[in-house]
Amino acid sequence: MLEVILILLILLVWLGWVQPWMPRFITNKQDIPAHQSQRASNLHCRVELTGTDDLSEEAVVFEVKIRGLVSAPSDECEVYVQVLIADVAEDLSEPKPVLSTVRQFQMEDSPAFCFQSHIGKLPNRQTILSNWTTIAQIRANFLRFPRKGKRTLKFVTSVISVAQDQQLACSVATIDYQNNKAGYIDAKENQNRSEILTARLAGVLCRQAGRVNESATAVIIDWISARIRLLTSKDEQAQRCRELEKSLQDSFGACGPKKQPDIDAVCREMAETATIIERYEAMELCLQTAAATGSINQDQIVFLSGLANSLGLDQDKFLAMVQKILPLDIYEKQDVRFILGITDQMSLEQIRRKLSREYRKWNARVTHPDQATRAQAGRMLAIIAEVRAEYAEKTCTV
Amino acid sequence: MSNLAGIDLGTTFSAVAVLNDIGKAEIVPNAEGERITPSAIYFDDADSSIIRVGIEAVNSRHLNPDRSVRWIKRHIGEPDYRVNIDGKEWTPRELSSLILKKLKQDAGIENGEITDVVISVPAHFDEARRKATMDAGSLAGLNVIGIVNEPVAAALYYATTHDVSGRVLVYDLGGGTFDVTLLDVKEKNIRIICSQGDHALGGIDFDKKILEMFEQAYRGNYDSELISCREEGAKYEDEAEDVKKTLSRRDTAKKMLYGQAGSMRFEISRQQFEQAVEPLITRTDMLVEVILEEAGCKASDVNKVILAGGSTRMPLVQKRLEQKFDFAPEIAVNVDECVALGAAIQAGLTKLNDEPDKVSAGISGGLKDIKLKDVCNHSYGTICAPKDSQTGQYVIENKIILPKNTPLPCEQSQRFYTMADGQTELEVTITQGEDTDPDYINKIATEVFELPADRPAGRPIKVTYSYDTNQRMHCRFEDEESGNKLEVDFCVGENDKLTRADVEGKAQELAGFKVE
Repeated sequence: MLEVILILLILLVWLGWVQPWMPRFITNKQDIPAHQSQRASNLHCRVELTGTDDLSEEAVVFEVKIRGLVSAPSDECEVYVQVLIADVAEDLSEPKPVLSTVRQFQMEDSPAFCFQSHIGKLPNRQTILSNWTTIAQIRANFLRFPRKGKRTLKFVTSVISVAQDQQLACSVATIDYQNNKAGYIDAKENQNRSEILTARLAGVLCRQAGRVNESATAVIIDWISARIRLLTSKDEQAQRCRELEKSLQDSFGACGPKKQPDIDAVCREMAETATIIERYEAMELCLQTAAATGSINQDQIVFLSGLANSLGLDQDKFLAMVQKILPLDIYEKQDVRFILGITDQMSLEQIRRKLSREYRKWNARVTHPDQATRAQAGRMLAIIAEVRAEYAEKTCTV
Repeated sequence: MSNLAGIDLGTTFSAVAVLNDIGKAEIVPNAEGERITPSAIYFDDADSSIIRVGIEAVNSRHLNPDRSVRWIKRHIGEPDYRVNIDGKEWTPRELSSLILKKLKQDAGIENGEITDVVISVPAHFDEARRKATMDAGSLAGLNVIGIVNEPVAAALYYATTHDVSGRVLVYDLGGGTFDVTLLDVKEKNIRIICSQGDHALGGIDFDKKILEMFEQAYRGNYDSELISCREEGAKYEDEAEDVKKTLSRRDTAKKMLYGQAGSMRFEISRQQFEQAVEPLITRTDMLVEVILEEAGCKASDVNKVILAGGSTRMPLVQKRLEQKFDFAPEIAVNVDECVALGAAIQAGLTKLNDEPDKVSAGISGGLKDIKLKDVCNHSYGTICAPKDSQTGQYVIENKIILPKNTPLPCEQSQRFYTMADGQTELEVTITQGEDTDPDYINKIATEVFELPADRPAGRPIKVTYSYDTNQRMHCRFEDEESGNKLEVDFCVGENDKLTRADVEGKAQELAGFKVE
């Protein structure tokens, strides 16, 4: 008997270490039980946090251990263990799921975390695990929590028979954990907020010479419609539409020098809350809006350049977006520095190199099959050569 | 004389050279006795079946510009470009074939029929333009055995006729295009290092600047437009060319401008002209810098600069090169002829390589020591979806597998991975171009590669491109787990080339037109 228990223990330890990295797709047949602890009297569970001393977040691991009695319907009952995690930091009675970023630890029908591991046969109807036995080591960076900050996590560990899919024993343990990353609820809220701010920023570009440009507004309205279509509920769609349209209307009044601090605040908030993808999307919409106006003045160029800086966009990517979205004849006064991505911080040598790169890029596009691209390339080469001639003179002067 | 010829199909002028019995290239004059022929076409208004090519076409253009075509090389390979004459939509390929037909006819008068030819193209010409040039040759009844890059042809001629060794830069500023090529020469061994070109820079752009100055001066004098119809436009385009040529020889040029408001005397100094064309010359400077950067060398590493193309006669060009390299460029060869002469040598080398028994002993003896090691003219790649390092998002991108200027023959591989679970096919695209943005590159072939079912994402696909000295490219896509392969072969310039039936049909259609 002792030998069998020993083998089982070794098996459990092995499974706890190795199995989590094996692919597994399962169906979630039960929600996380909120009051599982009532039935957990015979099996005990505890969770230890290891690797917290390490600077790397990847080293942080939740080590789940069990001990106690497991009652099976018969001898030789084949079982698996399951670990589910809920976040009860805000409200014990309304646990929020903890998600997995790794597909193999997700439920089949949702990204909620679920760890399952087959552990073989229990030797007897009543099997006792007398020592704490590790059944799972869960890397914290595989998990996605609802919110940033201090979390209270409820680990529900079950032993389940394979044949009947019946829970034989269950135990619950809670642990506090400091989550330093934005949670998925935070991310959703941030995304909603960044959409509102995006509409607001793009809206600024709709207003020219005291009037709102209809074509440019239509671009933003189309963008809002596309966003709303992603929502499933009609109520949600209506509400979101109201929010985004209000943001757009607000921006129509947010132009002019007196309102500039407001725009700066919007940029700062975007830079803080929006993901880098959302920030690029915001810039793309702004450029499309500007393109739809049919004419860009110097103030708008300054606004777009400032926006790219505030949003922390890569200068080369921003330049590629500008060159792709804004036609060359849109500028009221051609700002070659903006068109070619030349900044005040660049030395003459850096400018020379930049112009060479741009020349090489556009020279390759002169033979493009698309006529519009060929024409744009021809004009860009002419612009580059003019700027280059001007800087060559400066170099000589220096 | 042999029937192996080289043709320089230029934007403004063309020339033919053939190999003589001892393998030396010689220019063949045209029917008018000139060594170069204007690449101009005129559709006779009295008899629409007669097409005039050459100097007569240039002269007739002033009378009826609607029936004339010049600078067609700028448009070759453009899918949508057409010239409508008497209801027929002429493609650039067909129009180019008329020029080639004239060259073929004239070369045959004294020399006997030329059959196997190599046609020169700018080094930067892409797949579509090379293909269209070869097709034009086929439509003209020529057996196009190869294509050679113009600067390579110039270097080939120069290196085989002059004592030269070291690093050489060929500066080829022609009527419509500009190419610059860097190569290493040791006796008759030529190794190309890299090439760059500007498709929209040549003599006609300098002419345009002078034309603008005509118009500006006239407007300033009379507050009226100088040019009021296409005939006048054609006339002043030629006058501008004439002024440019004069300014290459003298410090000033004069012209009488006759407009509707009256006539005026126009005078321009070389300095004024040079100031006007400064941005264009800057483009050539930039291209020279780009090529030196690509080759990883400095101007001081270049031992010789060879000029090719008529526009290099401009003193400003020579002055700028001298400033850049600290020595005068080489003008010992005829800049209008060296490309055709080099192309004829390339024709001999190609024939010697493909069918040595059909080359006479004299020619093969004359060419025996020449060795040319070329490079890939363009970058070839495929479309993939890597993760952007900043956003973490998958982005559709052109990934270069065979970089431009790789010495030939060459083979390079890269590994890619399937993206989706259960992915059973892969759309593979072969691209030509440097850009990472797929919107700005040429997609030269697209195929579907079938994969085994029921596999998770992340299966490795090895992509191998190879390119041989005959410009034949071989692309292999290999699913490493299953061993499944997709192989695509094509010859640069021949992919999607007109079939024999197409050529015969088109040639028959064009046979109804008499080229003079």
